[in-house]
Amino acid sequence: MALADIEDKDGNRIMLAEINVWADIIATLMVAVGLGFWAFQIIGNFATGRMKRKFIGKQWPHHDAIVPPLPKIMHGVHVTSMIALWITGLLIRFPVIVNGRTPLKYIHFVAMYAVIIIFVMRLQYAFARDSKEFAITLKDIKNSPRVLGYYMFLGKAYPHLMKYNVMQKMTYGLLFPIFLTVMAFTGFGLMWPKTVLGFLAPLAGGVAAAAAWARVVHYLSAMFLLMFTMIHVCLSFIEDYPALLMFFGLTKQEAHAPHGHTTHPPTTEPARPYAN
Amino acid sequence: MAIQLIPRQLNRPAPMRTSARLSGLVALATGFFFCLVPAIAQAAPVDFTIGIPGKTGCLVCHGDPKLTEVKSKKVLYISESVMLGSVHKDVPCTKCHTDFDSAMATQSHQGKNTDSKKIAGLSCKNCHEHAAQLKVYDKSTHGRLAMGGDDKAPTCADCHGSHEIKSLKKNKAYRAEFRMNAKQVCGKCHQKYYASYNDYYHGRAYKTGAADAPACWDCHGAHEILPADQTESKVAKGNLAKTCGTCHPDSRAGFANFGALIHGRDTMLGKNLLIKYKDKLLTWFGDTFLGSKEAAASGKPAAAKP
Repeated sequence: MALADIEDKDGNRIMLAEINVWADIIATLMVAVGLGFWAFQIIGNFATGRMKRKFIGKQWPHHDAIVPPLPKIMHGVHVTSMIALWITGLLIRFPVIVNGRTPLKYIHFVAMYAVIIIFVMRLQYAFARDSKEFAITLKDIKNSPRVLGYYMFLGKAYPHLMKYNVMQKMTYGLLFPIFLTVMAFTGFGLMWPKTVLGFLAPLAGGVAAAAAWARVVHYLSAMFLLMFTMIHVCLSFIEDYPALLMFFGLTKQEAHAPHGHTTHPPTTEPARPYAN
Repeated sequence: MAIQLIPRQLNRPAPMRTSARLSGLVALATGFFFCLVPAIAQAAPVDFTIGIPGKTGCLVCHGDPKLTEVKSKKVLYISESVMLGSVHKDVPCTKCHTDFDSAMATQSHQGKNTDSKKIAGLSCKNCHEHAAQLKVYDKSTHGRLAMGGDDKAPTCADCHGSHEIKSLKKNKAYRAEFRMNAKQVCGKCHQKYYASYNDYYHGRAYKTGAADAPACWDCHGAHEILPADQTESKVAKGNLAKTCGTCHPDSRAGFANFGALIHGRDTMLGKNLLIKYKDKLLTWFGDTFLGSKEAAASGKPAAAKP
């Protein structure tokens, strides 16, 4: 039995239609989670005095090395393209612009190619230069409860780590690549259903049904990425505002002398001066 | 040649006698009665078949923007400029209004016993190039109702327009315009169905003018339209996969069930468990923290629940 043939309790085979309705609800909840996270972080940072220490006391994290221009440029292009993809994608699904679907699709395609090119370039750059920064170590796993505790305002100390904490490593090194791949696959599947999704036809109940499922997955993946990006932007803004500005070329980065992040245990020295 | 000027008084005929005058007047009146009146009566119908330009024929009266039926207040004005822009600009009015009796124009206009609108609406069959569509239409649900005497059954003119009609074959711009006009073409009778045509990729996109979104007739058929419960219908359960397949390659029965969303998205949203729960939650929140609507209206706090 194909996925699209699954019946509801009344014998109506409308599972795919129901899932599409649920997809909107789940997508709305994801955006709500993203916005809720912003609210939670802002309130928590004000309540614990972290906001004052950071934005007035200028107690921001120190960085060992200057970020080279290439990752910054790639990040900038990626951000612009992703914003274009979200806006056009949502407007294609929820059309409000009169006769806008065709031009929106063209913008969507251009932005999609930009994201894919940047994604491939970033993968190549990672393997050549900084893949170690995304490697999840045993130390990261051990530290993860404390990192989580810090973001949940349950603990004061931020464990001393390398460039990224375990959640960042998982997000940048696993979640984003996986979801970008899924989105690219489903997106191409919607463009060329027979070629790309043909092998899924027996499971889905035809190419058309496979494309319909691909559309749902594409939409939910986009919204999931949007939720994570909202969290990513929130933490970038609150935890390291100077780095956020620097990453978009709005300020010049001040590099601090390396002080042995890799050599000492993560708890002996607080990375952030306000942590204790 | 020299012109000789004659004084007026000299050129006047000699005065007639009274008896001769009388007999002349009688002859004139008799001649008028037997010759001129039938001549006018014969000449009048001819004018009704004259073409539109120059405000002749029917447009002598119907070209007046103020022309209104006294009892029903129905506007009888036909815009000359609209007619000139139609594909039928050179077709005489009586070619479509076949029930109009030009010999008895007055009778035809007053106290007529024919449904002239319906007759005109179906007169497309009189031209051989529309015969094929009419043949299909006759078997459709619209056609059967119209032939069965249903006053509300749509005729050709109800969908394609009447005096303003343009060619769908030759006029590409009009074809695109007509395509986006399903609200008027189908929605004026099938209001509920048009309102429920609200899913993401078909209905909503169509309503915002997406050229690649299907109009009603792309799925339901146009001249051949039949109710979904009839096996020959394009939207009958057995034919859905084929109908969807015109746009969606390798469409099968399972995929066609996805079509439940096309007219059912709003209903499905309403029935969704979480949406229902959200509504209940909001009602509870409103009643508990903001006071009920009645209390808010009266300015008094909501009564405590037992």
